Amino acid sequence: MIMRARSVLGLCVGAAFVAAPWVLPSFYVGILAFAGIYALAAIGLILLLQAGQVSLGQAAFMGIGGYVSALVSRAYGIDSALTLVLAVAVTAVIAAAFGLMTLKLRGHYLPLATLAFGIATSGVFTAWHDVTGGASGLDKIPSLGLFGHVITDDRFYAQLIWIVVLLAVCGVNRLRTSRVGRAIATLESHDGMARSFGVDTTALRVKVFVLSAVLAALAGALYVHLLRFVSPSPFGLSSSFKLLIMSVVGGPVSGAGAVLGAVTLESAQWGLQDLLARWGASGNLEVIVFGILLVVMLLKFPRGLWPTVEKRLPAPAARSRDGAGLPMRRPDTKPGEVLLDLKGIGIRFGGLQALADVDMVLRRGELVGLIGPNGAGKTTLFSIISGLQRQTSGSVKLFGEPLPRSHLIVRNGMARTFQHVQLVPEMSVIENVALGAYWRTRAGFARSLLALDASENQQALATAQAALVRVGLAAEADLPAGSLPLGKQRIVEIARALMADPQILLLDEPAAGLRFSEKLMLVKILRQLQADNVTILLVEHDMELVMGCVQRLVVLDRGRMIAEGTPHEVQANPAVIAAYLGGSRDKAA
Amino acid sequence: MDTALFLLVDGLTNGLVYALLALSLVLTFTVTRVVNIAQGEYVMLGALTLADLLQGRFPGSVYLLVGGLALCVVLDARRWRSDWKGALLFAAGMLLAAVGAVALAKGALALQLPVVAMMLVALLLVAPIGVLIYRFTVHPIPDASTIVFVIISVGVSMSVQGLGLLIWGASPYPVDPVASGGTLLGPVFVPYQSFVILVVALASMGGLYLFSEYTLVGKALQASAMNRLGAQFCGIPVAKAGGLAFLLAAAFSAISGMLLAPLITANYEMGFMVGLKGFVGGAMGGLIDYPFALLGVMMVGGLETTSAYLASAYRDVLVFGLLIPTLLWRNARQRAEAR
Repeated sequence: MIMRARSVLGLCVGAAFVAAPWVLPSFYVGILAFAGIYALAAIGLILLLQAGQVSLGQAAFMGIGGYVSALVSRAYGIDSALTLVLAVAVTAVIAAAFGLMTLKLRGHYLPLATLAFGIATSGVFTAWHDVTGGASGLDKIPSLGLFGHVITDDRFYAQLIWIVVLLAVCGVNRLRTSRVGRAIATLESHDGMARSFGVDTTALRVKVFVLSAVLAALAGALYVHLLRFVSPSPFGLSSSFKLLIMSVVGGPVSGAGAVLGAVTLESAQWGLQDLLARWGASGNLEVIVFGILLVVMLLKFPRGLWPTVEKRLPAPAARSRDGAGLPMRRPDTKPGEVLLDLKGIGIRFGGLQALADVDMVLRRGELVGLIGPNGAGKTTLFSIISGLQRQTSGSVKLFGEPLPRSHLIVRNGMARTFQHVQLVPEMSVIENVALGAYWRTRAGFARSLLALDASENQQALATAQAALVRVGLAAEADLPAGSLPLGKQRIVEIARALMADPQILLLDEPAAGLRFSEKLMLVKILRQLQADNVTILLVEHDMELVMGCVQRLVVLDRGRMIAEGTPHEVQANPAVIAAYLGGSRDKAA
Repeated sequence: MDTALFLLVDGLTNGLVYALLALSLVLTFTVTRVVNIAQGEYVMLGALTLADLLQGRFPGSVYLLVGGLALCVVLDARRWRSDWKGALLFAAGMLLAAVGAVALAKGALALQLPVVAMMLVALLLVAPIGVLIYRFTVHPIPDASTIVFVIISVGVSMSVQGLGLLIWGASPYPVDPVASGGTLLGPVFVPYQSFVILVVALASMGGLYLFSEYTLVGKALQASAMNRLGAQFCGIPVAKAGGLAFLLAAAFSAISGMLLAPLITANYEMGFMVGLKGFVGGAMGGLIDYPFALLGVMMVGGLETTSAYLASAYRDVLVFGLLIPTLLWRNARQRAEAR
C-alpha cells in the first residue's frame, strides 16, 4: 500500500508527541501530560458538537470517572488500570441515563441541562464530605498500575496519555467518514430526513453522548492517577468551559482540532504566566490577556484553528470506492399488487383540518402523480406516508402491514426525497448519497472506531458512486453538497433515495427550481426507474412534466381528494379546473 | 409558616433582581443571537461603580470606558487614509465622550448627589461599555455560529473580571441600601429595600415594554429580533440594533447590580454566578420568551432561598438538580403545543 503524504505527516506528528516526554525538561512534561488529558476530554466534546449538541457538563463526567477510579482503588487496593475500566463503565451508565432523559430537549435546553448537571455534580463532590473528602480532597491515590506494576515515571505516564489521545483522534476521524459518522452529521438539523433513511436518531444521540462522556471519564481517571490526589476544583464549571473553549478554538470539525486547541490554550496559559511573571506583572493580568487573546483568536478564526492548518496540508486519502456494490433486494414481484393503501386519512392541526378522508392506493410498477394547488395538503400527506407525522384518523398500510415507526419504513422498501433539500452541506456529495444505504449496512460505533468497516464502507461508496453515475453527477462526487446549484442538489436527493434500494420511491417536488436540461435529465431518470420496476409517487407543480410521464393522477384540494384518473380524465374534470382556476370554488365554500 | 413566608419574600426579591438580568439576556439573544455569558459582569460593574460613587472615590469603570473609547479610535485607524474628515470627526466624538464621562464622575462626586441620582450616574457610566463590547466582539463577525459567540463572551467575561480585580482589588465593598429599615407586613418583616427593588424592577420592565411597543426605534429592535434578514430589507440598520440591544442589556444588568449590592457584598467576582442564575432563568423561556423567563428566575430565586435554609451545603446541588425536571416539563409542554 502506498502511503499518502498526509498519513506520513500524521505519523510523524504523532511520533513527535509520543516521544516528546523523553526529550522535554520535566516541567514541560507535566504541561504536556495535562494538555493530553484535556485534549482527550475535548475530543468527546467535538464529537458532540458534530452531532449539533453543546455540553457544559463535560468536566462533571471527567469528575465522575476520576472520583470512581480514585475512591475504589484507594479504598480497596485494586489495581488502578482495572478501576479505570470500572470508572468508564459507571460514567457510561450515568451518561446513558442522563442522555435518555434529556436528549429530547431542544434548543437551549440541552446546554442548560448539562450545565445544571455539571454544577449539581461538582456540588455533590464538595458536599459529600464523608466519601469524597469534601473541598480539601483526598490524597494517597495510587498511580496507574496493572498486576502490581505501577507507573512511577511521569515521562512514561505522559507518553501513555498521548498514545491514548492519538488513538482517540484516529478513531474519531475514522468515525467521521464511516456509516455512523454520516448519520451523526445529520443530527444537527436533519432529524426527519435521517429517520426516513433508517437512522434511529434518538438512540444515536444517546450513543454519541455516552461515547463523549466515556472519553471524559477516561481523561478524568488518568488525571487523578497522574496527580495522585483528587479534589472537586478541577471538575467544576470552569473546567467544562475550558474544554468547550479548547474544542471551539481548535475547530470542532476533527479530532485533531481538540489536540490543537488543548495544546494552544495550555501553552498560551503557561507561556503567559511565565512571561508576565518575568516582567513582574501581577497575577491577574494573565487572565485579562488570556481573555483578550481568546476573543481575538475567535474573531480571526471563527471556525477554529484546525481548518486553517488543514488547508495547508496535503489532501487526505479518500476512502476506497472501487469494487462491487452492496447486494440488491430481489423482491418477488407480482405486477399490480397493492403496495401502499391509504384509507380515510385525516389530520387536524388545532382548528385546521389539513386533510380529510383521503383514500388512495399505489400498485407495483405504477408512476402516480399527486397534484393540487398550494396548501392542498400534498406535503402533509407525504409526511404521513413516510411516518414523520401521525394522522389523526384513518390508516396507512405498507405492503399490507400497518406503517412501522418512521426509521423502520425504509427497511420495508420505501424511500423519499424532500421538497426543501435536506443534504448536509459540508459533507461531500458522495457521502451524502452513501447515507441512503444506512439500513443496508451494519457497521456500528465499535467497528468504525477500530477501522473494521473497510470492506462494507467500500461497498457502500461503490454503490453511491454507481448511483451518481446513474443520475449523471459522477463528476461532482467529491464536492461539498452545499456548493452545488439547487437543481443538482435535488438530483443528489434522488440518488440518495435510490441508494436505499427502494420498491416505492416518494418524490416531493423534484422538479422545483430545476433548469430545462435538468428537467430532461429528471424525466430520463424517472423513465429508467419505471423500467426497473420501481413504484413512484410524485408530488409536482410542473404540469407538463407530470402529465407527460405519470400513468395516474390524484388531485387534492383543501385537504380533500377531488379527482383521480389518467392525465386526460383529470384535465377534463370540472372540479380540478375549478380548483386551479378558482371558478366555482368560492361558491362552493 | 412564618419561615415559609419569609423565604417567599426573600426568594421573590432575589428573583426580581435576576429577572432584570434575564431580561437583558433575552434582549441580547433575540436581537444578536449572542448568548452572553459576560452579562453578569455588568452587574459587577454597576454595583462597584455605585459603591465608588457613594463612598466618594473616583469610579473605576471610567477607566474602562475611556480605554474602550480609545480602542475604538485605534480600530478606526484604517479610515484615516480614505476619509480623514470622517475619522477626525469620529475621534473627536470619542474624545468628547471620554471627557464627558470623566466630568460626569467628577461632578457627581463634587456635588455629593443623593443615592438615586448616583445610581443614574453609575448607569450612564456603565451602560455604554455594553456598546463598546458589542463593537469589539460581535460587530466584526455578525454571522458566526452561536457557540463561537458563547466562547467569545467567556473571553470577555474573563477579561472584564480580571480588569475588575485590577481596578477594585479583591476586597468586598459594602453598599448602603437606598432605604434602610423595613416594615411588618402581617407576620413577616419586609425590608424597604425589597420594595425599592420591586418598584425599580417593575419600572424597568414596564419601560422596556413601552419602549418596544410605542417607539419606532423599539419596533425596529423587535423587527430585528424576529427576522434579521427581513428587518435588513426594510432598511433597519441591524448592526445598530445589535448595539442598542447591548446598550439596553448592559443598563438593565447594571441596575440589577445596584439593587443587589446592598443584599450581598459587592466584589469583583460577583458577576459570574449571578449571571449564571439569570441565564438559567432566561433559558427556561428558551431565551426568547419574556414571561417564561420571569417565571424561571422567580423559581430560581425561590429554590435558592428555600434550599439554602433547608440544607445549605447542598444549595447549588438542589437548585440546579431541580432544574432538570423543570426543563423536561417545559420541553414536554412545548412539544404538546407544537402538535
